[in-house]
Amino acid sequence: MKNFFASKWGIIIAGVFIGGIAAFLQYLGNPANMGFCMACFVRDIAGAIGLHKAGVVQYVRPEIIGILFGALIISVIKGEFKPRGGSSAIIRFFLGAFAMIGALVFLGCPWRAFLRLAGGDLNAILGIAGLATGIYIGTLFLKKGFNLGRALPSEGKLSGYIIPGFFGLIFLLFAFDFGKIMISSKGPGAMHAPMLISLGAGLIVGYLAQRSRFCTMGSLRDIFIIRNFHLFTGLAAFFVTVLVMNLILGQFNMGFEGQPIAHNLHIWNFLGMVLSGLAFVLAGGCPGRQIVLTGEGNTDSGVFVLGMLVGAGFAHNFGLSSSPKGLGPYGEYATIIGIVFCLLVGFFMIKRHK
Amino acid sequence: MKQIDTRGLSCPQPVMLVSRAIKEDSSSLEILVDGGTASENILRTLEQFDLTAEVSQTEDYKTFIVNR
Repeated sequence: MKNFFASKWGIIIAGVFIGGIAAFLQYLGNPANMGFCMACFVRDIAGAIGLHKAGVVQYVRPEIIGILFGALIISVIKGEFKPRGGSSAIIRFFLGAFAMIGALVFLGCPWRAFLRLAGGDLNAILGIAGLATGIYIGTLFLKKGFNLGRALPSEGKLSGYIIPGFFGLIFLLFAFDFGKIMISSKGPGAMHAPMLISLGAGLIVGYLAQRSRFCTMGSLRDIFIIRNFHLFTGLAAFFVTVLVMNLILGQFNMGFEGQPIAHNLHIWNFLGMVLSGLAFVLAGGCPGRQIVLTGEGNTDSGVFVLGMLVGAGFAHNFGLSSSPKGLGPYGEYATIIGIVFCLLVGFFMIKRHK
Repeated sequence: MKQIDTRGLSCPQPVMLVSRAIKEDSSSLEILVDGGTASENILRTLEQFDLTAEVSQTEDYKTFIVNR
């Protein structure tokens, strides 16, 4: 195969670098076990543009902008920038919103679930078990013929640039301190690596993830459904690298209690990730992958990302999001509603292939 | 010759359609693919079954011919 990162060693090297960068970002100032967290970071951006008013989680995370543009630039260079869309956009929007809500009940996207475990946070085991369960349920729908319909090539290239442009503009407003972008002065939103380092880290990870097709959800899904361990080797390399780096950098602290930006309500750690995992399978990618696909011009993934942004707004405005103190007042209800929504999508979108 | 059109489908449906077709019977396959990811995944699946494909590229998509 011409693409080195599609090979066995390619995905392993991508996992090692992505993991190494994640651990290093934590060392340079990102919140603990949050070198990358697609859910938390998109949530911070939602706060920065006022979609929610949780003062401690507002920041324009340059990592997200970097991943988006890293994927965009490399896909243009490699001729893989192909604007397309039209595969059940509205369903994807709500899958994105509910995936975000589930992740904020657990307090992390799948990337962060593995980062938390690699930092010694044993609560992540419940999250990862939930993720695997959600993904497994999703694969049952896939086997029955679930699909959201075909995406079609878009007319011209413009559609593919709109969502990157939107995030790029937010980033410029923030970088040049222009307008009314809101940035936390305390809390996790105020903890971050230097801006340009975060941006550079994002660009590299966007490049690696686009080339290698790195996907945390896909790692488990492919094992369940086609007994293929290709993506999983990348995820394993990512996890081991972060674990080793954390031990070297003194970022490892094992236990259930007092873990950073985490709670130990096992059932809800589990169910929050069941919701997210199921939503990711139905939408065809983990949140990192959705951002990369958005960079490739996939507007369906773009709509999923916008759903995440709006879902984060809802999560904080309506008390759905957890905090280290425990669940939000309505987190349980939102999780159940989300799971029911995903199951309905699963059942209603089963079609026989011709 | 069986035709499998994977264009525009999300992961992992292209691979699922191809493996299903391989297992169903031994007819030759013509697979239409429009993405880098799907294309690599399908080639990887073919490898698992010890099959090879002739790849031809048109403007928007690739065609894999698998002769058996």
